[in-house]
Amino acid sequence: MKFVYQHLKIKADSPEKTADLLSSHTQEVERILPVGIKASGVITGQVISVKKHPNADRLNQLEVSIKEKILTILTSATVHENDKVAVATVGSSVITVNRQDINTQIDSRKMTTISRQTIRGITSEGMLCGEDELGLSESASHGVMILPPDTPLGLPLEKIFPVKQIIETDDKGTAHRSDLLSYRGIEQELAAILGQKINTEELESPKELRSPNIQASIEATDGCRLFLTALINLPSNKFSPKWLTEFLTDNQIKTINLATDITNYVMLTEGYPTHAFDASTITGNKVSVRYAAENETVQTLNHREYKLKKTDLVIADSEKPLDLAGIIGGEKTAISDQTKQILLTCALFDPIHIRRTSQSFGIRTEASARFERGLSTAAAINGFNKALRLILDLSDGQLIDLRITGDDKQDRVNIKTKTAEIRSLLGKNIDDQKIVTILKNLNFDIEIADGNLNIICPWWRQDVRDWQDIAEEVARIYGYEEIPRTLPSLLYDQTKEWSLKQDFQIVRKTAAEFLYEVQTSSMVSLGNKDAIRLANPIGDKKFMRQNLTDGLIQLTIKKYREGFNDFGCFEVGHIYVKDQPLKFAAALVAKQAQAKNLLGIIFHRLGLDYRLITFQTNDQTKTVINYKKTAVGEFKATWQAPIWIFSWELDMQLLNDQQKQNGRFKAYSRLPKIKRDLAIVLDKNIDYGTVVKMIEKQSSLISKISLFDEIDNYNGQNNFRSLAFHLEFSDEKRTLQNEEINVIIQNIEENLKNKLKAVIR
Amino acid sequence: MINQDQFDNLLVEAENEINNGADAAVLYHKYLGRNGKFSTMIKQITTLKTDERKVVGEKAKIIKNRLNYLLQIKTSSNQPSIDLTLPADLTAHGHQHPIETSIARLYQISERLGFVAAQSPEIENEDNNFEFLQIAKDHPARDMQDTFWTVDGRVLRTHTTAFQQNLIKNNHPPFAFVQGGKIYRCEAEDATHLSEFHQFDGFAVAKNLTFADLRGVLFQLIQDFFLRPVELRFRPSFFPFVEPGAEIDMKCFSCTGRGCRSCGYKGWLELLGCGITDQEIIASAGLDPKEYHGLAFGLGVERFAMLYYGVEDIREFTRNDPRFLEQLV
Ligand SMILES: [Zn+2]
Repeated sequence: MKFVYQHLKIKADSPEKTADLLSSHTQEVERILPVGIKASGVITGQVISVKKHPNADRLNQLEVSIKEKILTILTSATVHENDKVAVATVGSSVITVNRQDINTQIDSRKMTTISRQTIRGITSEGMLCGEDELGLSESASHGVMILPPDTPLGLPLEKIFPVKQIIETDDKGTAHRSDLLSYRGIEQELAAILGQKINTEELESPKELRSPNIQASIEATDGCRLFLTALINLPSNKFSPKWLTEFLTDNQIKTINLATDITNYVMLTEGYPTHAFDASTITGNKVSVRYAAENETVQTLNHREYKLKKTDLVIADSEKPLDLAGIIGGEKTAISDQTKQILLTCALFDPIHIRRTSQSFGIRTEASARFERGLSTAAAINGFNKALRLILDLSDGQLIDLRITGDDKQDRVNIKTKTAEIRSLLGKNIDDQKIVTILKNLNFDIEIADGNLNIICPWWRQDVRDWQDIAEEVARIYGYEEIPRTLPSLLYDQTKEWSLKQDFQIVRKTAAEFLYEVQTSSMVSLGNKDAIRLANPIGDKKFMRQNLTDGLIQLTIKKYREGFNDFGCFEVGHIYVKDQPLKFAAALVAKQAQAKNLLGIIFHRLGLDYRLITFQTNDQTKTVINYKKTAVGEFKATWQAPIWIFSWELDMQLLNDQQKQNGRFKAYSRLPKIKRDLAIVLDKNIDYGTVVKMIEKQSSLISKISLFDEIDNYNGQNNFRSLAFHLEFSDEKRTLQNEEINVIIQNIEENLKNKLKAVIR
Repeated sequence: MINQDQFDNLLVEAENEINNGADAAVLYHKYLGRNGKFSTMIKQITTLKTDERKVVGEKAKIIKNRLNYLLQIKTSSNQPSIDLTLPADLTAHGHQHPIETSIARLYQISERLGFVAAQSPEIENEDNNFEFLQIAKDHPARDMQDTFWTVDGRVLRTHTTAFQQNLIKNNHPPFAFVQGGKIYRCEAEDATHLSEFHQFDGFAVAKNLTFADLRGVLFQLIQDFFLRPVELRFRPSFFPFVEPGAEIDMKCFSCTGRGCRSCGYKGWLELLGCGITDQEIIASAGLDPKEYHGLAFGLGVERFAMLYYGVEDIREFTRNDPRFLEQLV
């Protein structure tokens, strides 16, 4: 909310200091804005005569007194004799507005110096200003500004419109406190911060005065708890006094008429929205708070018509809705200059109802913002009392009828706590006296005995409900920065550590030696029937991803096309299938061997090795990455002419489980090994994995198989390739004999010949 | 009988062969190998008398050194040429992502402070994400959190704070957990907003934890993250699940508080929200809130990373451009 520093009754010496105090103790101040006149050298004057320019139809020629002399001024505006005006004399600076710049579509402003101008033989010695030219208004000109009749002549305009400072608070962080949307709330805070106490009077419900002229009722009882109405005769056309118009203008609210100005004033100062209707527009001498009928309509002050639903609250007469309750007044029931009788209303609406309606129509108003935060019965009574008294005082009006409909019982929260509990929560030894003073200055009623506090909360503090809230009040006003910094011993049971985190970091660090770590979106545009769907997606990203690789492959293709020829990336992230597992996936433009080297390095760092095994699923061949007998991921090659993109996706949990089993030392054989070579030629569609699996099966004495040569199209045979292996045989307990190895080799060769149609070289 | 001349002759013979271009490895084998000519001759030395053995032995040593030398030269002149400036086959040119690096650093720092890493799912039930944390339906606080919903009525968590319910119900205090991870908000992306980003949350419950402890822990965490002395300001703020609630501002590095573009002319940078856990959350686990107190904080990892690395557009983190990633360690 915006508070004009000059209108705060309690404050620090400067706007800056005041803003600092509020930021440190109550709510953050966004900024301080100066408001007031921006033009310079403009003085007050009075129109003495008005006549048409002899040679220019559309111009008026005026004589304007600025006290020490009389100036001739040409203007196209309509003014009358004796009007008091703001005169920009020769040499003064005003703001000119170029409305709606064609290119930028926004108004541009600049300072212009006024000079003598001769038009068709007559010289103009100045200019009459509008609010926009003075810098008092941001919006387009409402024509020449007419000053009040009692304005003295020759006075610099800065004297009438002194520069003021607006302190703008950030309300987002205090959504629980409706009192901070009022001058009284902010003044109360500043008083407590500055160590002062504001005396408050006891709050009493107004006295009822029943007449046959009007009836009031609440039909929507769960949407409205209390409905206060006052029927008032306005005997004469009274205007708002200067202090009121000035207050509203400074607060950037348009003055309209006395009753409306007062309700706006009460909303700003007391924080409670009240509303006054023109009583002559009410049909049937009857008002009620009710739910709208489906498709009922109401025209509102923003010149719009809303089609209502059954859940929207309205204040209605016997025929029609008069307004959109708690949000915006009705256009047809608004007070005009002709209004002779008004109905002042003040209702306590349910915040949730107001919020729903305000959201569904997309209108947030000063009133709805306050109701949404939750207001109290007491706040309603206070707001109504203040508005009623001001209207009666300032208009000499006559109260015809006053009704209290609903429940006007004020509940003030009672909290019992101990000062020791407050100290133990804050970790600072604030003495009893200090705690009591802080709470008293915030207008909590307090009794203290032996450190036991019996507290009654002030009626405007709906948010304070328990001892912890009281501790917060003490901490805030005492000052968060006055509380020391201590380091607790948090070294508790460390056994529950998230087990994947360690592997996560090893994998990241290793992969990042060769690949870029990236972050891709969890939301994707394609998903199968099991994919989790979003109810409110942005654009076409309707699904939660079911793998990481697809996104990484897409990214790799994109980066390749952008000119990163050897781009490779990886991500450690969740996929959204059952249990939302953590995966480690990579995609890279590289030679196959390079991709494998990398995969090998990563497994090596984890203390594991891997094997690739191909198998046939329903419609495709899949290559899985196996560790021992467990498939821990998938390896894939994607052809995107002219490159292959290699990718893999590993399950971090499975890797971790394997690694845990792997942590123990296993005895190795110190006895000599026997090495043999084996070279075969076979159909190239039979993969390496299949051959190795077949060799392995022949003997448990094989301790290592390594490929040392691969020749495609062996000897010019198109569909054949040659594979050459080193085989290593060993046993922990005995020295192997050449003869037994010969037998094994023979078996291997037989098997390869028979089952894979291999030729031994 | 073996004598000095025989050794001299052996050298002459070998020199000839070396000069005639015989293979160095073959010659090495022939002369200096285990059964080579030199070895055969030296074995005969044992048959000589002591004084002769000494003289011939001296000679043999000289000849052996000479042979070794010549064969070494021969070997090195036969070596094929090599280009040591050729590029590697597997180039180290990747890089860690600054957000993951920041999360890893935050884990490290908070582990030193005594926190333990925990993890909760990104697709959460409504209760964990909202109700348990006292963010009821229609609560104005939900305004700040435009939420992604799944068709089956779950939410993409809007904060990592969603882990609190499971932690407090499954662990008996004292405990202290942290979690870093992805969160989601359904809003349009611009230079300061992403719809998918990261948060790092802390939650500790123990007897007699205090607001002063909260201040101490966060001061340490922030200072260790930014690796320089920081000036902090704790000021009141409201979050439904803490009381007292605070927001922490850090004095702007660029202008040291005078106000500049990077701090929006405020002199202070908003860092994170924190507070003492609300008593209803403590009580929900059957604990006495006057005895057990909780600390909680949640910070935006992107925000921290932007300040730490000096990144102005948050979207850089999702563009995954090598030229961006490479710069940030
Ligand atoms: Zn700055």
